[in-house]
Amino acid sequence: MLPFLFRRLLQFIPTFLISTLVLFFVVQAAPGDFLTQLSQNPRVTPEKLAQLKINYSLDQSEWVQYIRWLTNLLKGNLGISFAANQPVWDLVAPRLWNSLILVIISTVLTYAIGLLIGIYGALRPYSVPDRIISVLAYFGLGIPSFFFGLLVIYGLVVLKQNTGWDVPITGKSSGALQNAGFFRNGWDVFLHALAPSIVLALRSISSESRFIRGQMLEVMGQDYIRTARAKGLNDSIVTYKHAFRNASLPLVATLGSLLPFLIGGAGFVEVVFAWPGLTPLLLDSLGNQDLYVIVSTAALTSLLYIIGNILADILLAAVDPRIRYS
Amino acid sequence: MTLTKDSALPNRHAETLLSVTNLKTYFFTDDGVVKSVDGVTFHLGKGETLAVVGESGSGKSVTSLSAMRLIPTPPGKIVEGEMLFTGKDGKTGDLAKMSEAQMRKIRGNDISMIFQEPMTSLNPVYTVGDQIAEAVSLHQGKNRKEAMLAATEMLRLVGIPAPEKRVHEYPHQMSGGMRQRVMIAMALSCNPALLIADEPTTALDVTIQAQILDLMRKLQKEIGMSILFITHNLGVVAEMADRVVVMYGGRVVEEGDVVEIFQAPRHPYTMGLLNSIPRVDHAAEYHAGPGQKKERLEAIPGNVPNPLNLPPGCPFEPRCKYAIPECSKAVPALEDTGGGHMSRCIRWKEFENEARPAVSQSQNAMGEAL
Ligand SMILES: Nc1ncnc2c1ncn2[C@@H]1O[C@H](COP(=O)(O)OP(=O)(O)OP(=O)(O)O)[C@@H](O)[C@H]1O
Ligand code: SF4
Ligand SMILES: [Mg+2]
Repeated sequence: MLPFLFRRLLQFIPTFLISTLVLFFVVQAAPGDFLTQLSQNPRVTPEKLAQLKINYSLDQSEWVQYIRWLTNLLKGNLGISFAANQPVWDLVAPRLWNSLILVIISTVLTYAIGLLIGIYGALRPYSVPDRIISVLAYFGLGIPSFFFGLLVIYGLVVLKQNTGWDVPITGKSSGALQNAGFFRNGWDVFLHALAPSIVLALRSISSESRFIRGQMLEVMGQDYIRTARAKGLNDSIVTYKHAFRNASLPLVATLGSLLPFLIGGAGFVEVVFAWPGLTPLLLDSLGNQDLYVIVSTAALTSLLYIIGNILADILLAAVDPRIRYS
Repeated sequence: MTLTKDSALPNRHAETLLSVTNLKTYFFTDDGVVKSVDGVTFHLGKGETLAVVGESGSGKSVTSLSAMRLIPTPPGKIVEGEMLFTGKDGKTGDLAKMSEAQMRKIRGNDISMIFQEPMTSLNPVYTVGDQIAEAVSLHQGKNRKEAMLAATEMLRLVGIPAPEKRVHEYPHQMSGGMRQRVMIAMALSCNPALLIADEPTTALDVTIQAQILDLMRKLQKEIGMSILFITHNLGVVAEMADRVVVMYGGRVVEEGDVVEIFQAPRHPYTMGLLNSIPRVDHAAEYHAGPGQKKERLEAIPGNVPNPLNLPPGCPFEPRCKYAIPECSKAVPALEDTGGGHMSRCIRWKEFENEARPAVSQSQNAMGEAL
């Protein structure tokens, strides 16, 4: 297992280097640099500017800068944000965490709802409810996400007007709760995260439910399911112990690719719902040519990607006895 | 070996374990109604082995799955018939009419089944011990530990070496023959009254086939169960069966004692099947070379009829060399030709004096077919 993980990490290195390198050069290719903006700030002295130039080797070639950034990264230093004038990590960490909240909630939603309706459809294929679910799933896959986001916002506003139920549609927390206890605060954040998570999850719920339905249907036709029935097992043991475990294997295998999809997808949802995640920060940074925020964020997300994949591999080995990494 | 099964021949008046009458199992497909089993009648005595033979598509598997009530519904349905079965508790009931809950008590406990494909019949994600223990704890109320011990004992019984270790292995760690032994262990773990074996050796190579058949015979003697043995290998029939049911196009066309069926078949289809196994006088040519094997055999010309579009009369008529105009008028009835030997052919009386291969020949031939 360990050598396998090591190999996985090695495979990841070239991808990582290429993507950060490309970003590094593309951001810098635009006219001007972050110092241009910084120099217009009256509080930044020319001495300070000169100091920065030296610290980040801005007077030297971009290759040198890149290597410098990389060595710093290995030491755990992501550089500084010129726009915010603070370390990138301090800026990015809370944002990253916020984005992860959305991704985690929508992953849970995806699997909880997607599995439920997928299995339901597989147990009653081509029944009326199954056909309705199919149509809805195609709708869910086809509808543009921003449009669905607006629909949800509209729906929640109408809900509030008619029933008084207030599901928040912007931001991450209600300011009034600033000093409430941990659980009150957590619940508040969860409520705020609900609408964006649902919008984010819609597409993956649609695709995963179709996927698990197909998998279940295929597995239910396998010889070993007939064996299980011939033993006298009841439907729920046959379905959940014998069929589902097998049907879920490819699902686990694709978990690794679901995570980056959600991280990527979280971006526009964060903008629509004013969620303080990575994307709004990244958009600002692109506007400011805030180089280290951009490349370091990219580095972090690709790290998450590899972590997601490795987790999926470990999980797959845990649920499928035929898989052994050696 | 002689064809008279002196040691194992059951008493003709033995109690009936399973009695199937006019079973009809249809599949309602988009193309029409497939009458896979269309009025099948047979019975099986306690401790008896009944072979069901017939070409592919003749309805053998559908018959056995009907008895287990494992026909996929939809599209399949048992539309008519009675299947009286006497369970281990001595109570007799109609399998066709029992509730799902009653059937679940019977499956794996009173009636077990082993299948043709040992490679795919075990769940890949659970250990073989788990899969055997599951049946044991379900039907015998044993806790997990006791059930695992029982599973180990079953593996030992079916001749798997180092069962204490093997019981924790997964199916993919075993060969096909081993997996079929596991299937047998699973099927016999609750001492069933009836074992349905649907072509249990077809997927195995010849030496393993012989081992598995030996094992089944040995265990049958120990446990005293009846076996419904589905196969299209007549050599296996001669080796295993007391009586034979020959199926064609979803119907029984001949039924009788194994010796009678081999020595005096009274249906042209059965005769054709017998001619398509290698005979002793051809044995020399038969062994001439592996490539020539098939050419020496006299296969029945033509194909199995399309179940969606059966001829109006005798379904075998298009392929039958004894066919007369009379044959296509109506489906022949299954008639008793004497001593429980049944034939569904209007000309059966004329076959009584037909020349037939001598006993010793056909019997040796069956040995070869194995
Ligand atoms: N699920 C199903 N849907 C439609 N038709 C079916 C289904 N299962 C079986 N049949 C039909 O029933 C008929 C009998 O099939 P069955 O499997 O009993 O044949 P068999 O005698 O066991 O043949 P084999 O020797 O190939 O196993 C076939 O014509 C088959 O097409
Ligand atoms: S009834 Fe006629 S066609 Fe059918 S098997 Fe007998 S002889 Fe052949
Ligand atoms: Mg079959």
